[in-house]
Amino acid sequence: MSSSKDKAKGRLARLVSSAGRSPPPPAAAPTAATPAQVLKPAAAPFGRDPRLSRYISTRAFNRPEGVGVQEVLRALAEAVRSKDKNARQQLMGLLLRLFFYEELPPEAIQLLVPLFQAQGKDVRTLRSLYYLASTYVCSGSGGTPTLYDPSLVGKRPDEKALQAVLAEAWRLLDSSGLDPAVARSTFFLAAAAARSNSAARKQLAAQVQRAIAAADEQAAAGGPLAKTQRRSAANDWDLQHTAFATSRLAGTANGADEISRSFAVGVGSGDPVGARHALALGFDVALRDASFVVREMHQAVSDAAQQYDAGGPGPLRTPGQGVNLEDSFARMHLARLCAAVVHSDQSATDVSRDGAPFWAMLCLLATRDPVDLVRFAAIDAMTGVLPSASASLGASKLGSSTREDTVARQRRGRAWRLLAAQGGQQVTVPGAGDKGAMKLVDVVGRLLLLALRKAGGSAARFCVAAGAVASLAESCMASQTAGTSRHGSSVDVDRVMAVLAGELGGLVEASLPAAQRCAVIEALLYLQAAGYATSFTPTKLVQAGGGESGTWTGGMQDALLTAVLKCAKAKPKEAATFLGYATAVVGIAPSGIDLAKVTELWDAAVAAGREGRAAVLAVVMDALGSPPPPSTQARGAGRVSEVTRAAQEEDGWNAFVSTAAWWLGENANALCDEFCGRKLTPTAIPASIQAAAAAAAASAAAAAAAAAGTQRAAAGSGSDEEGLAAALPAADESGDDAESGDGDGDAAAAAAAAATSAAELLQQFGGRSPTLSRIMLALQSLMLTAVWQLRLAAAQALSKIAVRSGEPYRLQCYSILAAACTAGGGGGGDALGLQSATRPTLSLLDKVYAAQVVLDQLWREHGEEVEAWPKEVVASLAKRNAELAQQAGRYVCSVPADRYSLLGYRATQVLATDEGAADYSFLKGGTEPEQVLQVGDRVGEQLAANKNREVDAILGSHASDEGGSLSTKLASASAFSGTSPTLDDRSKEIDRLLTGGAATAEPWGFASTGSGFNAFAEQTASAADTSSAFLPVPPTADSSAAATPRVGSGAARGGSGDWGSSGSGMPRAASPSGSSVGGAGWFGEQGGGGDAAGTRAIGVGTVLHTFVGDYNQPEELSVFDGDKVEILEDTDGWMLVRDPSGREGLVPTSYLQVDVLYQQKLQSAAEAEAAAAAAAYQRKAAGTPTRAHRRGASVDWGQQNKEDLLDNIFSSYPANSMPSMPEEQPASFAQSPSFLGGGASSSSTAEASGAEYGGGPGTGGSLTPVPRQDSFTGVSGRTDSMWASQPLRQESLQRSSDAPFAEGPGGGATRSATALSPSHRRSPSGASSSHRRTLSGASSGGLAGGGDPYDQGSMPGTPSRVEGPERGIVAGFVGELEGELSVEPGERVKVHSEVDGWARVIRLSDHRSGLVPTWAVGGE
Amino acid sequence: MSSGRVNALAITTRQGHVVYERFYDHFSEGEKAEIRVAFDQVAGPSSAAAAAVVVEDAEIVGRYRNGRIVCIPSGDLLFFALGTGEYTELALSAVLAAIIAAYKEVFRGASLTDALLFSNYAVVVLVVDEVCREGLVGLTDRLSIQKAIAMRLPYEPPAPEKSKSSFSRMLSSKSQSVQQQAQQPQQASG
Repeated sequence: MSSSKDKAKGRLARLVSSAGRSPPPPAAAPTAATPAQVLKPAAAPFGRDPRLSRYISTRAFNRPEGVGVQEVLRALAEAVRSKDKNARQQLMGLLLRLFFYEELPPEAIQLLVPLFQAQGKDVRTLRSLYYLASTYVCSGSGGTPTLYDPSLVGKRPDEKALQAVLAEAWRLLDSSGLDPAVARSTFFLAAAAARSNSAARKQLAAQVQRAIAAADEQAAAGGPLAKTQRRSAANDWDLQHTAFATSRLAGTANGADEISRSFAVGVGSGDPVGARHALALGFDVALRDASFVVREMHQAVSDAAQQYDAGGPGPLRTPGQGVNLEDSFARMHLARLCAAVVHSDQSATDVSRDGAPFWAMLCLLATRDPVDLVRFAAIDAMTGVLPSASASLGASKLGSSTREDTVARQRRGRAWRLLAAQGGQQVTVPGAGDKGAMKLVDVVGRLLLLALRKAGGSAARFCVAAGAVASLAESCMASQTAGTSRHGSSVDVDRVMAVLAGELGGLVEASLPAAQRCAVIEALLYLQAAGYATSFTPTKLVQAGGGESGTWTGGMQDALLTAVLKCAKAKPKEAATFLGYATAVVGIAPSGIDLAKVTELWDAAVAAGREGRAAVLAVVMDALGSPPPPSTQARGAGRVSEVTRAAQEEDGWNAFVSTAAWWLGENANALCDEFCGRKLTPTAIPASIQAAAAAAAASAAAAAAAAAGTQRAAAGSGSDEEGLAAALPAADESGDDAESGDGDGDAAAAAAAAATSAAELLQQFGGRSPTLSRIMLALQSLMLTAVWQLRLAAAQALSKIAVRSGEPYRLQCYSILAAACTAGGGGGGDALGLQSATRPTLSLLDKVYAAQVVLDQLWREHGEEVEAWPKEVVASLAKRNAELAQQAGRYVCSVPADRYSLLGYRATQVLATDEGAADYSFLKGGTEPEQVLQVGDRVGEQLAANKNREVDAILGSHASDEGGSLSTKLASASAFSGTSPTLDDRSKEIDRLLTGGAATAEPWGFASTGSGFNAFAEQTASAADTSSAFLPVPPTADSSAAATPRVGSGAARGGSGDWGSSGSGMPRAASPSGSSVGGAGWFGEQGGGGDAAGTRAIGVGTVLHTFVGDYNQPEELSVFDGDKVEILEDTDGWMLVRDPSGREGLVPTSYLQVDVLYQQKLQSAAEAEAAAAAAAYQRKAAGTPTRAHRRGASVDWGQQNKEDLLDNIFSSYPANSMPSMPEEQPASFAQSPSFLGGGASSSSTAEASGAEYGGGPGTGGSLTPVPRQDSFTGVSGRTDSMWASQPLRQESLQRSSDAPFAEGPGGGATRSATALSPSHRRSPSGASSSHRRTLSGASSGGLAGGGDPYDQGSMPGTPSRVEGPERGIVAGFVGELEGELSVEPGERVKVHSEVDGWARVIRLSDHRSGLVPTWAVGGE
Repeated sequence: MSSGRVNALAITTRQGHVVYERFYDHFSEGEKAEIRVAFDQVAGPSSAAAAAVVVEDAEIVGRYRNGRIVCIPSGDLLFFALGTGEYTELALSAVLAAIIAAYKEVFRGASLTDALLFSNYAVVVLVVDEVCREGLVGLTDRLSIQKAIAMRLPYEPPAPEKSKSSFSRMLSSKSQSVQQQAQQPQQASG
């Protein structure tokens, strides 16, 4: 070992002593084994230990086990401390080892800094120290990739170490008589540190100034060396080199600082590199202040041009005069400087006067320079492009229209015009052409052409040349579009450009590597935009990209997308073509594309103006329908790599199309200017049509015929109702186009007589465009035909459009979505797999429609004078509106109140009167100001109040209950008044409305809407009941209730699935049921359950594993392991639990350990069921498991009070524990199949509803809505159900006080009750899973037999207890499944309803209800 | 005002092992990896057959984001550069060519291999440091580079006269002056 040690030491010694020799002897490998052996490993003084990769360790150190930096540092520390000469000689070798490490720990620097001083005499060590220190303190890193160490990621230089290095640097610079080379190294070190440290930058600038001053001082002082002239800063080229380079390296030069502005002293430097730095600074100055540069450089450039013209670039004959053009990079900077001068907009830069030498120099460099780098840089500079435009590495930004952009475009335009003007100028090119004289543009063109033709030569030259052509074309384009100056061109320039375009057009089909091909395409795009290349098409682009030309990287596609956008912006009329190129670019290699870039492109195009919008729409819709590009198909004979690549590309393409769908959904409304709730102003009726109308006025019949349609159109089809009415001209005068004055109506009627079709009128006056319809069709097509990923994206997009659009689009979307939801027919349910997207939307839309029905009724009730509407009504509307918007925001898309009004124009009108209403200022915006109610002065308050309300809603705080909104109080008041005979005024009104409601409800086909009204809520209930109007099998008189639920809940089920249907209607139904005091129904049971609800926990359990509920299944509760929970209900596989924070929800049984079960204490199974039902109900009523209704957390007034009310009811009817819940399950199951029978049914239903909308609009909407509404409530986490349930409650209250009634919302109640159970109970039919995470359609389909007939009889208020025939049991029956009732012969029951061989009965002896076979029940 | 920089330089073997790399901006590990991948993509498949196709000293170009990549193969090695702004393909090519030329001259024309570079790692590193300093092109001719590595000013103005002025003597006899310089601080501190 010792011999090897000595050997190593010897080599180290040689290494260190061989400082001046070149090349140095190998150092690292031989010393590889030494340090660890030589030096005793000390306790690790350092924290991190980056290690070298195996490759480096093996190849460079012959130590495959790896080498850690700590080992080296320890050895280094040892060597520094050691007095041993040999050990010190190892220093260089150890420093060398540090070169391999990409990053060093701060301790390393602390170790190195003192060495600057100690090793000052050893230049090689010193140089190494400078290198190590600079790589450590600069922004980057150097070495070989060290193994990944998380602690190193993003690690900036340690501040302490940085300061130590800087302190050492300043110390060295301050020391007198510092060697200039050391000083330069020190400056560079400081510059490296200063790049990322602004304080250091300032200090560094000061140090440079001091160095210059010191040099001047020394020169002035003269002294003993006076016989040789001391160099001052003005002619000390080394110092200048140092100063200028430092300035550039540190980034302190900005073109305006002192060092930069003194660049002129250095351009004639004897040091070519120093001159280069000076010229580079000069370019920066020229960009800022061209006149200054002209003053400073006029003579120098003239001299340089003369010298260049005479002999080409070469060393400076007399340092200090002219410009040192020896260095090619210096010439490159000079070319840029000259271009910056001649393209400046300052008058001093006129090329016919002061700017002449600069232009001459530029032309010389462009045409005669022997070096490609300079030539093409000069040509590029001639086009006006600034290298600083792409100076920082990053994705190029699209769509920015900053001032810099404008300035750059103007500069380019000037550059183009200058070239066009001067292009004919003769330049002498020795050896080229006749007599060497050629036109400037010809020379430039030939150079570019040559570079392009010699594609096999230098790829770099090819790319730069193609880039120059692109830049030329871009300048031409800029000249055509930018600024006020006229575009100019010349024959010569056009000829050259055409030749170049032809060459590139041919090249794009040639076989080129990807990068070159990309450059060619980029140039072609610009050329086409500039009007030179006309044969290039997106198809060619796809073909060009499809070849096996190597890997297309994201950067290339980015570049093309950027080009596309620039072209599209510059040529708005051809924007569609260029954006089509974007799609083609994506098609080249979809997997590598940054989709954000594409959407950014589209957004930018949209922002560019009307043409851009149209183009984007065309392109995006095209993208939706276009087939996958060739790149998504495997080339070659199925090689694995090819197949893999093709699969990746296909995935990328799908991502692109779904992004397109997403973007379309997000932007369709804005693009089509279609916002729900916006009332469009009829455009002024054209004079011609008016004239025609006058002529046609005589034709009374025609006018009359057209009147309706026109009136609607003219009155503004912007609001939902009217739009719909207009779209469905036949049926309905819903009476809501009353806004249009008579005068308007006459005029419109007259005009209509002259017009050919209502559609035209709609188009003409309503401002409607068919674009949105086309978008919807495109999305629908995608939704039905594409792969699932795209289908889902399309469904989501349609959902957004549905929520954000007014009629008829909303209805159209609704039917599309509903049809898709149930596509697949017969019980198959969600064949398209879209329910996750469609259910929330349909549910929301149902609610919206239901609310609109209510609104409609209110409108009739209160008239058009919205100011006169009762405040409570307005408030409840506002609340409802806010809730809907919130739900929309949560589950579908945001619906900003300043753009959209979910409930339509009339709602905004009403809400505008509400102090708490949202800002509907958009109403004023462009549409029909005269109809806008004064909201402006109250906007602020409204916003604030609205915000408060929303906050209340979100927090669901007690405060809202107590301090509460008026509506809350009212609700509670009415609720209690219902139970007490003393009705306050409000209750009276409710009474009145209830009766009135029933009357008005008639046309909708529901017999008994008792839905009275407290504002809106009841309306939904009534709507629920009345949905029968839209049944495929319309309501037969007696079975209307049955039919109703079927459609209603069926639709709900179809739309909102399991949770939807199960949860749906529940609260609403429950509330009526609760209210149906007199009645039994399942209400009574509910009452019984109410008791149970008080103690409804049936056990206590511990969560064994953390369970995260499915986002789409709001019933599920996320719990953490270790949580103690109360078990409220246990059904197979799932438990309803309440967690410590009071939230309730479902948790898989397997996740729980049951600690205590109280269930045994319950008296009977019926009670247990009732308790469960109550629990379930409460959960539903609470709207979501996440709420603890007990704590009064209430979103809205309705809810809070409903629960209070229900508690009251429960407690007041303890005896009536009618275990009806389970029995009703079959009904609910029965409902669904009928609805789910096929997609057609639902869509037809929806359409039917649409058709009916005008007349009984509510019905149409409310049809499905009802059940879903509540289901949605469940989702939303806030209790929307109030909306519906509140009125029901009141209604029921009323009923409770009144005599039993034969008909009423009971149907709905029952239905909802039935809807509840399936969610987590075993169904009688044996459907196994109680809690279905997915749509229950399938399972419910199997249960069709159960049938809604059960619903029939179950009238809400006075359910089965008193109604139905009383019969005796003739045969015993033992119930096996849940819901079945065991009976003994001779028992007396009342038959509630019968279907399919089963009868739902209530045993008179104990009021238990359940299913028994009909054969067991005797006759009357 | 920045006109662009060389953002990264790398020397790798044809199999893709990094012999030396230098980043001139603060890149995260992820970005570094992306840049390495981009380099790899430019070089094409690293199989020996594909590598053989790559012509000696002929540039290969590519792009990363808005930057340009140039790769020049030499011997067993591939030299990469990534640049933006004024560092077009030609400029990057010039930078790489300067590095390669310096290596070839320093190593006396030997074909460049990773072993050669590893055994002269200090020179390898310092040449890159001199040619491309903080992402800006620096010295490009071998003599200047060698001088700079030896801590001498690369440009020495022609002496006004051939005689030994003390100033020119000081500049030319670097080792002496450096020693003097080094002693001064020692004295100062001591």
